[in-house]
Amino acid sequence: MTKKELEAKQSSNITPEVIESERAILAKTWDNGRGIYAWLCNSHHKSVGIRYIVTAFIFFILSGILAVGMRTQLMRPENRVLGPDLYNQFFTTHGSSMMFLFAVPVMLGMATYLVPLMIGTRESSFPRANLYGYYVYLFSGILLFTALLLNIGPDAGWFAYVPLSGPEYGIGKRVDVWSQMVSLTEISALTTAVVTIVTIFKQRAPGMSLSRMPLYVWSMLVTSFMILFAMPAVMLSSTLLSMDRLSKVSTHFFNHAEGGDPILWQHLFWFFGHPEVYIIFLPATGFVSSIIATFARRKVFGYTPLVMSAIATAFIGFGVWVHHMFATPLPQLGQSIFTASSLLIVIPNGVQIFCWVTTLWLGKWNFKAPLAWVMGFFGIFVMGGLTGVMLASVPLDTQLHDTFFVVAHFHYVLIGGAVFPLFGAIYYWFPKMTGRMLNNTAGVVNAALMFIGFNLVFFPMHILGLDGMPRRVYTYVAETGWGNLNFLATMGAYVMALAALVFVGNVIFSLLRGRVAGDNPWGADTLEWSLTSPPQSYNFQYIPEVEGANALWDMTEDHAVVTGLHIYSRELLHTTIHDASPEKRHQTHDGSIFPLLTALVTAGGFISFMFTPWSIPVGMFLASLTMFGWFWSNSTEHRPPYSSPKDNPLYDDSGMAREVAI
Amino acid sequence: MSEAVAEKQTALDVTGLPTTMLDSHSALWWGNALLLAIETAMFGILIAIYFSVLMQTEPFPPPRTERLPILYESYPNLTLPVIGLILLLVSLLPAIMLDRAARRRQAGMIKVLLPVTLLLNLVVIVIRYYEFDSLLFKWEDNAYGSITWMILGMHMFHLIVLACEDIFLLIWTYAKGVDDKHALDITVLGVYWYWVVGLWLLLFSVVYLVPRFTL
Repeated sequence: MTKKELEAKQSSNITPEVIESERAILAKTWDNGRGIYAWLCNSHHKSVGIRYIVTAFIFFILSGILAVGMRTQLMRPENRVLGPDLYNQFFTTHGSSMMFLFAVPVMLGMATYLVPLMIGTRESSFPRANLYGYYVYLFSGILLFTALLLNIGPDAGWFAYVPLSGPEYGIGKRVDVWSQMVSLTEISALTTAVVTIVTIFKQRAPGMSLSRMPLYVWSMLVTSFMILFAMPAVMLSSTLLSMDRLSKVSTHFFNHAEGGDPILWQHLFWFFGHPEVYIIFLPATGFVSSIIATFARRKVFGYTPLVMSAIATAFIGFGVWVHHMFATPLPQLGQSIFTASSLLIVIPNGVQIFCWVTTLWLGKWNFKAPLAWVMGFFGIFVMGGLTGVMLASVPLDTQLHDTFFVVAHFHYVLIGGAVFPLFGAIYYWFPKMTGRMLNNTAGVVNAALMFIGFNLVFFPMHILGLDGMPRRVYTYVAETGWGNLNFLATMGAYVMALAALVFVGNVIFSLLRGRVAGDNPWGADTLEWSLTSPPQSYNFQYIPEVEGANALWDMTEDHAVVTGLHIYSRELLHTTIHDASPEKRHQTHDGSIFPLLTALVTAGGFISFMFTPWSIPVGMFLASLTMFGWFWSNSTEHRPPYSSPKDNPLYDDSGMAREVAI
Repeated sequence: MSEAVAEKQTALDVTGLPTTMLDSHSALWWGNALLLAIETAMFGILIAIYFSVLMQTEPFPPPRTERLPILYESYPNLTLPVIGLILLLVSLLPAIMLDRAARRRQAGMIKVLLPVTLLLNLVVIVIRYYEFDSLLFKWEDNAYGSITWMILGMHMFHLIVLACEDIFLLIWTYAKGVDDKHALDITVLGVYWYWVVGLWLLLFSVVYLVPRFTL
């Protein structure tokens, strides 16, 4: 590299000629290459984000097909479409995949794509770690569905209670597939959560203080913190379960005969499992806030209460897990405390709903497909919340435990609370991601079909549950009288499948023939809409200074833009955590093969732990090699700063940066 | 953004900003801190499991009947663990000195201290390997054995990760010298080090002292 190149930086002389010439250089610096190898190495956040989303939707469709299979089996009494064993594998894989391979990863994928664009930066904080997280997730999904194809899919339910899943009753390798899949997805979730938090903390555009952060970014910040403290519980417990199960290790964590405790499993699992619901739901609240602000054409009512509600939900969410365990012998005081906290969490969620409804009330509607999905969200999620309040009561819960009432409740919460906003978000951001609009009419039809289908499937389940139909039975006899409602539910499942087909058709058609979207087709307020659709590889040529909570709506014509970042290396602007005032320039990395290699070693190590404990030392050794290569390449690719140290008061005589007191 | 608008804009020139800053000003420090938050949560759950086993086991620790001689007062031996604890605490001294040397970019000092800290770390790992025998149980004997092995093992894993980081920085420093980026890396290594030692004070109390003080 020549000295001239080292000196090169974005000029503060912003004339059209300078903009054009620097744009070309930036595009070359941020180019991610062509070909399969470059694609495997590509760690840019937009590429990783889209791969996350597409992969998650593939698992969504696969798990949906399993659900249709289950509904077909239950369509009439004593049906013989699936046998009992296959039915067990279907519902376990459906639940595990929807939770671990779809709901959490798709939210993290959306965040990986959207957060850097929304806060005004060119890349996520640790792009290579982000890519590593994606690959680990991909391999865990392949593991689960390969096992199902080989007829050794897990069959002990998505929460794999011991002793059914323990060494005594969980024969073969089925539960091991489940536990290793869980461990791998959680590695991926934890990695992406750390990347998201650091991106939000350090890389916001100048002026975007915490009180001006878009509500979606707030929701992802809170979600990521929840992931940090919830996911270790399930990773640890699934690891302990696999150690209990591996005959060469044979620990006794969950073995009552040797001082262990089967109830401990339930505590550990639900200490993760309940916060998981909010980990899925909170990003969706961010979608709802974004969509409502745009389509009600006004700023969201109650910014501060919405942020506080998200934080309160996160805190209370860690104190409600025992309400899943009311059917176990618990001290009565414990039951009362967890009933109280489960009722308490309704308050922040209610505040959120009221803020959104008020925003819609005060706004001028622009009724488009994303808003249609949000309307569906209101109806379904509120109803799921109400049955949630019912289930928080111990006497009712012990009556309804393990019946279809519970199945109805959590599908209302999860599909209403997360899937509807997610589809709204896809309709909303698809133009930004691809440059083309999804068909609006098809989108409204899609939402309506999904709403009708959903209620046809799950509303009858409330009644079936009250009638005493248990979960996880592969069939029932005609004398129970459950046949008609089950038939109705199955018809609803087919309507939902049709809705999914409309969605897939709309995506394919719009990718090829959709109306070309401009930069900001909806007139939205967040920074990503100031970019071209899809955004350039470097996102922002000039990072704008943010002047209000609704960045684009509050932006004045002569707002300041950041200049002086390196154009020959991938440089980011770091800002202070609270006020987002510029602090330093930070050089980030481009793609590398080492994340893929490290992910292969990680997945290989975890998967072979199903068979031998030696996979731990061997895996650690191999991982240390790949990570050595990773960090070494990070270090050698680091370019020296361009500004001559002698002219810069921030560098001392030896050319080292001085410590700066802020 | 269109050029017409761009011409009106004022520039916020960031040329003068530094490229490396320490502690909470750097992304790496935050990445490490959040990783440690995850690990702390994990160890918190391990401690919770330990006390769950304690409540299930009467007397605690359980008598060792799996092997001869049968032991009724099966408290863990303290000799080797105490030596390991003292060495870990002693390792804080060179670790702090290394941290300070990195902040002052004293390349010579860093090149001396990296091997010293690594050596102490490796000695502690070897002691930890033999320390498992002090527990008097195997992981497969009972739940008490399982959880104590797990706690010691997970902490040992972090000692090994620490050694790997130390080795990487040692090789880099000797091959390429000390630069800003790696001075930051060394201070972050310091944070990891303090965390590993501080955590061990807690885990040591749980695994070795709690059995002697339970009624």
